[in-house]
Amino acid sequence: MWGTLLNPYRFAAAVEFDSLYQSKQALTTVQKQRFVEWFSGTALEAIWTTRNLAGVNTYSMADAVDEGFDITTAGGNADYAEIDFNDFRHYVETACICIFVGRRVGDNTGYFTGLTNDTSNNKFHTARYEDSSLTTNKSLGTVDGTAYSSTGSDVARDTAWTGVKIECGSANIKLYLAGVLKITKTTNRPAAKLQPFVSVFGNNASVAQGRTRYFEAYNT
Amino acid sequence: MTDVQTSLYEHLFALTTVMKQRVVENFDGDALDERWTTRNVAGAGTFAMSDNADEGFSITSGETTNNESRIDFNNIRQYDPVSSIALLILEALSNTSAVQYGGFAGNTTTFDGVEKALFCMDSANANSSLRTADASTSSETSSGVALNTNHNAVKVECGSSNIKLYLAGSLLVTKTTNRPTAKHQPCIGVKTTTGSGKALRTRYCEAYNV
Repeated sequence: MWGTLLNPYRFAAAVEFDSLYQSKQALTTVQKQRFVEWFSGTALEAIWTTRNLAGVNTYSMADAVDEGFDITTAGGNADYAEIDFNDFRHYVETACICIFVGRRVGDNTGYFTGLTNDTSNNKFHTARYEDSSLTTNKSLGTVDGTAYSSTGSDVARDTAWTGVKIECGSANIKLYLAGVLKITKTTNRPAAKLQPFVSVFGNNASVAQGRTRYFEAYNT
Repeated sequence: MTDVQTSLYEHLFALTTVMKQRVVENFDGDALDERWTTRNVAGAGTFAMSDNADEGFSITSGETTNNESRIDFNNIRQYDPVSSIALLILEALSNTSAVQYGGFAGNTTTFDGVEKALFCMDSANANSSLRTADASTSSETSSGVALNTNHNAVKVECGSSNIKLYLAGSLLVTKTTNRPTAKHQPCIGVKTTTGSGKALRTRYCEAYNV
């Protein structure tokens, strides 16, 4: 008898929702700011602004299976290419989450993606995932109004597609890689409203390249 | 136990899974999203959001026989020919003298060219069909479902050994011949087979690699 006893939850029916809204929260809750980007199709969505922080870089949809959106620098040392929301900053620095899937394509590259207040090179008030050919491991970099610091994870840098979650809370910033909490950082946290960004940095005088195929952000 | 998730990602996957390429299009608003390219394969068709309840986006082929118009991703081909799915809502406004279609295409050529996996409503047939093509040959298999002017919920599933067509959730065709081999993109279109322009409407397209 015990061998045939079934887990009573095994056959629970999947919950269906009338709306995408209700799949995220009850109608009694007023939904906060949210967006989803698929990075698929002919061209980058008009919600994004391409930005050459240094160099004249290239931004294109990748004509390859599973390869999303491509940012490639011009090939100069410290060339720096970014897409962002052009300072339309809808996300709360102490209560937001971003989830994205991206990768550094090769050497000579820093792939830095996350949330920022600042579309300049300074990147004040930022929380970003970092995978750089100059550092051993993937890391979480944060900037407050004056200073930057970075904490390394225990995951080696690579060029594989990586699922990343950055959670900006009231007391810390958390970095998850493939669903596993890797870093909880309390220092140099952003203190101003944020926007999504994806960037590629040239670590030396060679072409740097990064790709992204999903980005979701929302206030909590 | 609730299934509410705070993120769309987690509705689809656990965060331990790295999501593959995916796109969702609702064909809503005052203009076609920039991810799509409108294409006159032959002749001069028209493309417009439809100002009617539940009618999405409209494609109308040109006025001459063999005119054909479609929307696609301009050969940004991010979907795997042996591991991808397309979900579409497609409506033929007429079942005469036309072919309306939707699914995947490996290029920007006519619907019955090479490298395709398409649901087709061809007025030359009594029923809708699954049309597939490899690098040289195209063929089709009937779904057994009569042509209609309803909104059809279509699923085209490209696997490693076959291509499947579902309508309204029912598996109707499993086809092993002439399967696409090249990376592909979502594609929706209409061809005039005789005489005046014909219209297709679509209000949803979702494509993803599996």
